[in-house]
Amino acid sequence: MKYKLTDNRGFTLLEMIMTVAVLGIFFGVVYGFLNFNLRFMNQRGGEQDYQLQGRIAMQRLENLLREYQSIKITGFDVQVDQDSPVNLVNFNQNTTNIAGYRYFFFWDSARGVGELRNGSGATVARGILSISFVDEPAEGVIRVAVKSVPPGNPADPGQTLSTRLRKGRSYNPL
Amino acid sequence: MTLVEVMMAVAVFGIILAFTSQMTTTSNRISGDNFNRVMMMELAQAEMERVKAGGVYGTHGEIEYPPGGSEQKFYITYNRDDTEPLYVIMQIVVGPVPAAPGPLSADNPDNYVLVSYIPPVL
Repeated sequence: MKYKLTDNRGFTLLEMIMTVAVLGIFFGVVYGFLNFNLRFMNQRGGEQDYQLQGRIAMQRLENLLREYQSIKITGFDVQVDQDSPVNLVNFNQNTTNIAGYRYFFFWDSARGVGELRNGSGATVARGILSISFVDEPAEGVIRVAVKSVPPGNPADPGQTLSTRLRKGRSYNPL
Repeated sequence: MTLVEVMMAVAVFGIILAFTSQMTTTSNRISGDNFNRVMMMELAQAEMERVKAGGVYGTHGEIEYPPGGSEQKFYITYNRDDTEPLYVIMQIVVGPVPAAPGPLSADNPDNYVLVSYIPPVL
């Protein structure tokens, strides 16, 4: 094939406008598609983040309560069950008495969502909507539930993690 | 612009679209799968705690997650090894609800398996 290297006629204005228009449509489609995918991936990233926060809160609570031979629930306190009970977790969202607790539930009323904080007040897990401990005396266990939601969206269904922990670790039924 | 050049441009565009679409699909699948795995893990641990606390258990059947709620159903199988006189080895398998009821296989990678040694009474 022979190219005419001496052909220097260039392009007409109409050709340039058509080219720019076609390129505009092409890049518009590409941008729209990429933007949709990126938004979707960001949304997924956010979901993974609040799911991770829920897991962190649950793991911290489980690890703490497994350290003790016997635990019980009194009101909104999870305590070491002994002659002089020791407070471990305060899961009352309206409390201001946090002294001596290993973990407590801090409620941020402005955002409508809470945090799990440790005894020194540092945030352990954020985006926590509720923490609950329910005694199941017939089973000899305490049911623990942690619900986490995306930041800034407390109305989201979120994620609920739930498990059970033995109240006494010295008893073997088998 | 020749036909080959146009085809090359279309191919590159197609590769970009396919790549981004694949990334989105993979991300979606990993996220969903991870959450299912977390739920199965929590469920197995919760059941192991309940068994160790003296709770009644059967051989296999459907189970709810969260325990005590009814948001999602899984299937659970309890296997115990009584060959040693002083202790028991307990295996709990949690997985998706199978088409036909029956014990879950611990070899199936879709299932979560938790094994715990239950020590003797001292």
